[in-house]
Amino acid sequence: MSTVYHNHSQSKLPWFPIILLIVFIACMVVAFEYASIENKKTQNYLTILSEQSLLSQQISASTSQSLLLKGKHDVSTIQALRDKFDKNLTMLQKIDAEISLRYQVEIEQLVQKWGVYQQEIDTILAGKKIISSNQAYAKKMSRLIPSLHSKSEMITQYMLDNNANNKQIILTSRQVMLIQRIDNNINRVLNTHQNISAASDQFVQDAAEFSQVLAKLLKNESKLLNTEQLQLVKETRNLFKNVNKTIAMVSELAPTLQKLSKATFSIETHSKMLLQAVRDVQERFKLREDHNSFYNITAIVFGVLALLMAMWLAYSLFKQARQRLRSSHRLNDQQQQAIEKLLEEMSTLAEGDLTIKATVSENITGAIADSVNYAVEALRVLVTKINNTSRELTHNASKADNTIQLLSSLSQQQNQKITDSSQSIAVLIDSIKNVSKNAASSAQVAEKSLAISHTGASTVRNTIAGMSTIREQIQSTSKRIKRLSESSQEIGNIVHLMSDIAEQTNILALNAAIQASAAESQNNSQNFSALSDEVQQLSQDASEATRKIEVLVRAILADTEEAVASMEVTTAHVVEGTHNAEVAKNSLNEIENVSAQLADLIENISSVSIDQFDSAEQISETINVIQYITQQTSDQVVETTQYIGDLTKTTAELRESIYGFVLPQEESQPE
Amino acid sequence: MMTPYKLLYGMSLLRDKKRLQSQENENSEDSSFLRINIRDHAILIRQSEIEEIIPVLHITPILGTKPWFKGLTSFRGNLLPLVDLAILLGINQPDNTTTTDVRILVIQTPENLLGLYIDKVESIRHYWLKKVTQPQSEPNDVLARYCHLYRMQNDHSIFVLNMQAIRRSIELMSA
Repeated sequence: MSTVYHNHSQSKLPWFPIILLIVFIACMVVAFEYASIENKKTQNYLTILSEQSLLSQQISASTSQSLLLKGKHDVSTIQALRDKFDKNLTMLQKIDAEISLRYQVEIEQLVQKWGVYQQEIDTILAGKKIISSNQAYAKKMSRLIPSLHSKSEMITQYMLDNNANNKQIILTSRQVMLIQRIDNNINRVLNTHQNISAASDQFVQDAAEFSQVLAKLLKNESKLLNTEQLQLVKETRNLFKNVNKTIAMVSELAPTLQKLSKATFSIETHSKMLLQAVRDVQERFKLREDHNSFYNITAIVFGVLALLMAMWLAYSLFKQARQRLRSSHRLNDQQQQAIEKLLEEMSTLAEGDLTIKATVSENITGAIADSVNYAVEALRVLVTKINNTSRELTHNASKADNTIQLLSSLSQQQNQKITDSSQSIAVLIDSIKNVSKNAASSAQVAEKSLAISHTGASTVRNTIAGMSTIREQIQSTSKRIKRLSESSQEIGNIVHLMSDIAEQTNILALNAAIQASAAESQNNSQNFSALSDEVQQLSQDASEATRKIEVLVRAILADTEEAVASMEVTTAHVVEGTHNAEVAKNSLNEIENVSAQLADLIENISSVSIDQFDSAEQISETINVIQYITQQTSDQVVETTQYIGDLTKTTAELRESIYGFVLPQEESQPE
Repeated sequence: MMTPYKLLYGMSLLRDKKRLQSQENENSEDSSFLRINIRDHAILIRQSEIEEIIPVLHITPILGTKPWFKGLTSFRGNLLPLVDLAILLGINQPDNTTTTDVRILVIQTPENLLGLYIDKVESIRHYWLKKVTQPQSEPNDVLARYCHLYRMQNDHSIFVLNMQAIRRSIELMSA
């Protein structure tokens, strides 16, 4: 790996084309950005100007149509368009101070023309109410004139049907014509045609004429018309009165409508001029748009340069990459060999051989081999642990199996024991019954015991007195024996002295015998020798007797000493016995008290025994339940035994699963 | 009731009667013997060969001497060499005797007196003994070398110390 890093560190980046590439890209971006900003500004101006040209035409069209009776636009639309145009013009002057200053002349011309245009629009807007009234009148007339026209035609048709004279027919026909002309002229006025005043005069005259003809028709009503016709003529006259009022109102509006008409025409005229002014400004801004393309070209030039630098850079990098590729191939070959070696070393790992140890080298596989060794070591530890664990598990399962089998047998024994206990408790119940009976008699016995303890206490007191007497006698005897011992000691001393004398006598006798024998051999005094022999013999016997006495005295002395010691021990025992008798007296007193309590307790026992009888019956029932539970437990233990058997099989399978792994000899313990 | 003197006289007559009976046999010997005990052995020593019997008072051991040489003691203002007769006779049994019974038998050698250290003097008696012809003794049988075997009247065998052999042996070993 270190070789690879070393080769990488040797490859130098082509900094010069990179720097140039960055510079060109930066310039290109700046140029494009500047061009974009400028174009955006220009586009904003052009958009506003386009909207202004459109608004100028819309205002012109709206003003023309607003005066028409059937126009789609009303005055409020014109006002909105004017405000919009005014707002755009203000924006055009203030959107960019530098640009506005550069195109100040054209904009001011546009403003001037807009000022004239705006005055005419204001005139139209000032006649807003009149226009509304005009439209209302037009609607009213459009409703009245057709009715009036049909009634007039009905009258004319009636005249024709009744063979009226020609004059009457002509008059009625003229009435129809007048109504038609009145309608036409009123429409002219209301639609603000140019000759509004002439049309107004005409329909006023026609109205007067129509009114006169109606008057004539009503004068000759008795001659010409029946009631029905007369009624028709009267309705026509009433209807015409309304029309005549409207005509009067329209005639009053005629001068104003004339002004509005002029303003409309003026707007139409100035709209073209305004449109032209707007287009002039648009042309100037289009020239500016062309000027902005210079920045785009500059940006493209920088882009081309950046592309060239990028190609140069790519070529340099390609060269370096090819060199790296060659070195990479060599490195790959080395790594391939190292990997093959590693794989060869690890080939037995797949078969579970955990004894492998991969070679840790400086190649790329070094770290892998180290990791593999670490992993194999961990796996080896794990498998060893699993092996040991499974062995322990098998061992423990076997122990558990044995334990549970033992438990099973114990449970069965327990079951048997509980059965026996149940029977025993039944017997116990009978026994408690007997105890209950016996407890009553025990109370009587306790009373007797109390009396006997009284007697025993007095006896112990007497015993203590006797013991004291014995103690005194024994002490006296002990003193006497001590004196006897002292006398025996003196006898022993005397006997010892006699023994010495006898011994010396013996020696003397022996020597006397020897001397006598010697003398006998010289003087032949045989009798002396014989006597000497006998003296010696007696001395010998005396010595023997003395020795026996000494032995006897010693025995007496030893026996006396033992007797003294024994007496002392006895005295100690008597003292102790006296003390014990005293304690016994106290104990008997306590027994006396306790016996009294015992009598009470036995009475309580008698009553408690009855309760025990009930409790024993409950216990018997409980034991039956326990027997049932134990039977269940026994069954469960049998099942658990089967489970443990399955566990043992599982453990064997576990061990079989890791059987394929080969462990080093020191780690694989013998089974 | 018989007086003590009559009793002693009667006993003397009885002993004479026994002596007369024993003289009828050629190999018999009639003499007063000291009956001594050395460990478990009872041995007779002719009374005539003993100068005096003394109790043991104080013995001074002498280093570098033979094992049987017990030491020196005082006897009538003179030094008396003592011979441990048990060691000399080759009796190797343990010594269980009481010190009060131990005696020293004073005998006369050609040059001076000699003390024999024994465990006990049991008695002085008259014995009518009959010498027993011994078979050829073993070289290592020390007791047979210094004693003669005799049979008593009750047919019990007993050793009698050969004082001549003792004196001769001590002289040889001392030289």
